[in-house]
Amino acid sequence: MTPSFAQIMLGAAGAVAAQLGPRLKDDAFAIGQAQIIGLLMVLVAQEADRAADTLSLETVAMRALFAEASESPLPEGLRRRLRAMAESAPPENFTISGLEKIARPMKALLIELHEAVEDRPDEWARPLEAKCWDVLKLGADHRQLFMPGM
Amino acid sequence: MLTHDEIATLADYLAQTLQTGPVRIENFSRIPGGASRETYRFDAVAADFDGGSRGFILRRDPPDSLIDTERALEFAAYRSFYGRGVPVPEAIALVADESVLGRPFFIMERIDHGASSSPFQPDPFGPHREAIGRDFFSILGAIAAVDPYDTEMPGVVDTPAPEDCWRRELDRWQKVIETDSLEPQPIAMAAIRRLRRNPPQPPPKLAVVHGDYRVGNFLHDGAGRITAILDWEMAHIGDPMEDLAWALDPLWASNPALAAGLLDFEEAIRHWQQASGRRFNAEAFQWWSLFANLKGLAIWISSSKAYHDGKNADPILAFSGWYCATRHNKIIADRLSQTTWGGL
Repeated sequence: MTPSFAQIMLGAAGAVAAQLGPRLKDDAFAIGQAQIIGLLMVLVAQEADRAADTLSLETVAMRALFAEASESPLPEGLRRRLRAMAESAPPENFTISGLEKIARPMKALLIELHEAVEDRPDEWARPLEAKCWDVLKLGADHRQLFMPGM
Repeated sequence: MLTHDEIATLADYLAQTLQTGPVRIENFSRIPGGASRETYRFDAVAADFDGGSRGFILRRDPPDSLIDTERALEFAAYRSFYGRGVPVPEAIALVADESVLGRPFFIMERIDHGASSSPFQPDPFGPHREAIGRDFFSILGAIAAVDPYDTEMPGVVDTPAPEDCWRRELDRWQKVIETDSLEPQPIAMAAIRRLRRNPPQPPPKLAVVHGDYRVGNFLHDGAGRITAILDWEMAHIGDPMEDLAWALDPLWASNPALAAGLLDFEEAIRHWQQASGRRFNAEAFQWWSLFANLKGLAIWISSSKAYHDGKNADPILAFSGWYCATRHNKIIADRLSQTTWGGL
């Protein structure tokens, strides 16, 4: 896309700061709101291009984890659901909302799996617990935002 | 913004409450911050005031807020600490009657010549950082030194047994997460499980907990002194380690190598201990520190819901519901992934 989302949003944030800001000099509330709006534009500029990619990476990682965990000595009912989720249909589209729809039940199952392996003192459970954290850290790391000075 | 009629009503209300002659309101304007309440500043002009006028702050309930709090609680907290070595503005009036200004509100004295600083500024205090830091931790210690039974707080909040402080707070914020989450929260749920498995030691004595004591919630004079501690809307009675851990949450530190971005950790604790007369409990602090991460996340989840549902369109809610939630998710994930199966 040309201009890119990032270019549009950063340009708009710059216009808020350079063109609108000076006209608000006597209104502390309006200045504060304009700063927040400009900041949101800067954050959207960072996230727009990568949001779908982050969700795709997360769902791929969760499928792999569920497939592995379905082979572990967890209760049979949970293993069956892990296997079904690992083999569930791929996303119909790669919109953010479409990917979130796929990811939501996976994250709910991840909570269940994480709790189940935490509760087990067995040796085999520790690597699975660590892999739950790997998946969670992957999403948390990819969503980090750079905060410009306010 | 208030209408002209509401401002006139406010003038009449002040004249009646302060028992003055006619009051005229000037320079009425909304000021930023405080998404939990609409905040306005104004001058009240009356012949009875020294110098002819007084500056006030009006805090009015919004249609929805970041935190579901009782204004009576915040008002009681200001009254509890006014004139007791903790700089707070004088609380003037609390009005629950919606017929006056359409929504409940309270009025407090305005602290002039004070600036607030965002924790997201790169260097909010410049050469006065250390002086502000000493004040910051000493005042927090002074709050912890006050006997809660010697304040108005027991009249507006319940008083837990010391051994129940952690459970009450965790129950409260877990409920917020479960009620307000728009999607599954695997990192928050992992933190909740970890906290329940590792309860902290109870405090030797209860204290008033400010509940949101951090950089960004005080005014300073630009010369290294804190002039007012604000935003007491989450105040309660509990473990003072809770306040210390919240103040030291990495989200508020412009320089994460320093406690609250202000002082070396050891120095910060030394000032807090001197002012509070209490001993720092490192083990309990670890628990309350993870709890602070989780409580922050809960607040941002609520912000996100309020914005998403259209109950409050303030862009600060979109910012905190997104940016701050992203930060706290990472802080918790980095922290807990280091210590699987067990400890904090």
